[in-house]
Amino acid sequence: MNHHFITFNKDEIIFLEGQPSHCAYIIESGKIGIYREDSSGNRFLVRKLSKNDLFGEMSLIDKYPRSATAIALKNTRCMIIERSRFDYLTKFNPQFMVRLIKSLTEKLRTTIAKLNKAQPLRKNRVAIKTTVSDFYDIKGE
Amino acid sequence: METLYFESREVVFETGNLSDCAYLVEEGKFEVSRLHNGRKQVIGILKEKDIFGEMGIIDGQPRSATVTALEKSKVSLITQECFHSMKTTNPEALMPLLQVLSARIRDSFKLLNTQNPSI
Repeated sequence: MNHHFITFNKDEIIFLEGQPSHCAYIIESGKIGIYREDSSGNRFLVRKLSKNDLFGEMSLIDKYPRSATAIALKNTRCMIIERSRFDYLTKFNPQFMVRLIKSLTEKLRTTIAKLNKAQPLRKNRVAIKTTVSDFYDIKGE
Repeated sequence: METLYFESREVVFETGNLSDCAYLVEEGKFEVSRLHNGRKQVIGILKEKDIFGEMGIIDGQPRSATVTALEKSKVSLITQECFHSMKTTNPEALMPLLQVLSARIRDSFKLLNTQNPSI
């Protein structure tokens, strides 16, 4: 399968939080910043990513809009992983799967750590509980 | 898969414990909690077919929350071997796990937005 590459100039927006999405990226060279917005619309930097880092994969997994904004911090070249390639890799490439899982777990741990530092939970608010009845079917019995 | 039984109030694991397996609730109910400024906060209730502790088998980091049985309960153990064999023989079967992680990240993002996100 052919790889597709794209180059972003410094300060160029790669995608915006809330946008629909069709692809993920792996950084070949350069640096990008991941930003989110608080409830009053102020943009803040969440993390910086560089060579070999993967980003934009969450929307391919759950098909929801972008959960964050990505901006090139310097001239950056990325490999594009389109939906079809993503589906192929998740089917046939265990290493890619492991990479995805690790990337998500890391994100989740960072977010939980931030939450733990922030204000206590409001009553009746559920933070990190989700049902996954599907998983029941893949127990490997 | 191995089955484990828990009595009401019995702790499955605590925040900071070493982790090497995940759990699938077969019967019963569990409470997920964490300590904030020394006070216990309940952050979720798990019931039949819910999975928990999956982050531990993935990255081997200590548990991020405490899970306690709320009633007589039964769980299946998902060991690391089981997880690893799934990812090699049928990686696509792990998609639901990715989806759950994604959902949890989005939930946590939302929650952070209502608090002070820049901390």
